[in-house]
Amino acid sequence: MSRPRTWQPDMRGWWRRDPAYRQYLLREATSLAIGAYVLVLLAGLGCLLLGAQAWAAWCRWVLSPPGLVLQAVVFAAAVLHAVSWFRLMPLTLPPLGPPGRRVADRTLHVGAWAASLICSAGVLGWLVWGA
Amino acid sequence: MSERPTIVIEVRRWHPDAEQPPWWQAFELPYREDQSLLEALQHIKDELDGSLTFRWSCRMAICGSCGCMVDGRPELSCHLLMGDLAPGPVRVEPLAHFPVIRDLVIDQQDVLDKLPVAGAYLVPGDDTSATEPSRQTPAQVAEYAQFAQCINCLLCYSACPQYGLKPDFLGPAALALMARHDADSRDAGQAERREARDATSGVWDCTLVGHCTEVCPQGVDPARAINRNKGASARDYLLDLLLPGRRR
Amino acid sequence: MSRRLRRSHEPPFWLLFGAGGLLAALILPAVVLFTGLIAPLSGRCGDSGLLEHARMLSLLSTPIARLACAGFIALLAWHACHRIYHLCHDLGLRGGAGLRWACYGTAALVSVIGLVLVMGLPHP
Ligand code: SF4
Ligand code: FES
Repeated sequence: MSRPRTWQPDMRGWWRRDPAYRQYLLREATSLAIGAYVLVLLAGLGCLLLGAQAWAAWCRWVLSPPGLVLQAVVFAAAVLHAVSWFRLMPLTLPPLGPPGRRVADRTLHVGAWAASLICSAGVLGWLVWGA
Repeated sequence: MSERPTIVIEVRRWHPDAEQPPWWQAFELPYREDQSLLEALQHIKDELDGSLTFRWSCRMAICGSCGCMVDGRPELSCHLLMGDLAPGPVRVEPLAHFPVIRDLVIDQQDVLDKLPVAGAYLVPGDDTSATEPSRQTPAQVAEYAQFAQCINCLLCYSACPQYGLKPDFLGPAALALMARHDADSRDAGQAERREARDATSGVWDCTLVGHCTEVCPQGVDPARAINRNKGASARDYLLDLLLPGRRR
Repeated sequence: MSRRLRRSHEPPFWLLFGAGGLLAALILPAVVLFTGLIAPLSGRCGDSGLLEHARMLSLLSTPIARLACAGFIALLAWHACHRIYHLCHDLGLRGGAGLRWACYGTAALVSVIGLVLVMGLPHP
């Protein structure tokens, strides 16, 4: 069977159609900030290895205006990431619990945030009092 | 009658025989608050321009034929009230990501072809009798009931940028149908559907934009249906890798 | 229409992406809070306070701490690179296999460098 003659709009600027698309792209763009922070940490490790002088230089950069601005951006991105990650997490899990009494999304959300709180406290505790 | 308020509806039009690219046409018409957008389009067709072409059937959000983009969002035109769209203007376009045949009529053949690829039918297991009814408990029905509400309106396909960007993607409704059968206690076809699930055009074309779930008029939640299967697909990928000869 | 179904090799990358994403959601805000706010307030630029050179070395002196540090950096890198790859796709950049190699290659490189650096740290 021959297909009818048709017209189809292209995908250029598809994110302009709906604010939900821009929120999605913002969520995906948090990876740019996280990637930048990974490089900062990697540089820190390198400086730590090179010695006290290089380490001091890295610490100075982290405290410089560009370093602080970057970390403020990374912090905002990390929080946005956590919020969206936990919000969508129940969609990615198989049904939990016995049929008929499946664990509700709400329970998973509360559990995820509780775990985040505990893990964050543990990591901060280690970083501040660990040595 | 004379005091009815009016609203402007702008319609994206196209005719295969017209020697011109798609164009916008604005219609000004009287409306009632409790009138649906579909009824307003019918008013245009009956009173203003008989050549305006669009699909509908049930007028009550059940048949899934009247989908179109309303102000950039996929909607059932029979499911929107003019009172909620006022004061307008309202922009109506054919469903995104589909070839347009004429005006608001799209060619949905691609999705019709994909439904059987994802598994259109329940595959009975050995213990499912062909003559006796297969009884299920309410809890067993609840496992898949949500995914079984699809009316094939294709709004989710228009909401999904990945379908627009990657036309091979099986897409939300087809993969929700797959999850619907996976979750049905009478079904034994998961292995048959695996190839489609694990393919590049299966669950892995999805990036969890999530807009499909937001626009679905039936509350099917295709985003959950698809992403639930990513874990299962990843598990089978690793098992196939670790246990050579397991499959393919 | 006859569609050919090709098996996707996304799963291992998606699992790494997911692990990194989960890790980031759990603790990344706290880590950034430490390097960007708590540590700078605690002393002068790496000479004293929480970021003192010898202190950092002793913090990273146990094998478990070192592996955790390298793993954190690696998983975050896989997470970020996977998303950046898909972001390029979403924005219409048709990079093909080259883009794939660039993204995941970077993640692999960062993982290896992180591991080598952290294992080479001197003991205090
Ligand atoms: S899943 Fe929902 S939006 Fe998609 S075709 Fe079915 S009813 Fe329509
Ligand atoms: S006319 Fe049937 S769903 Fe709108």
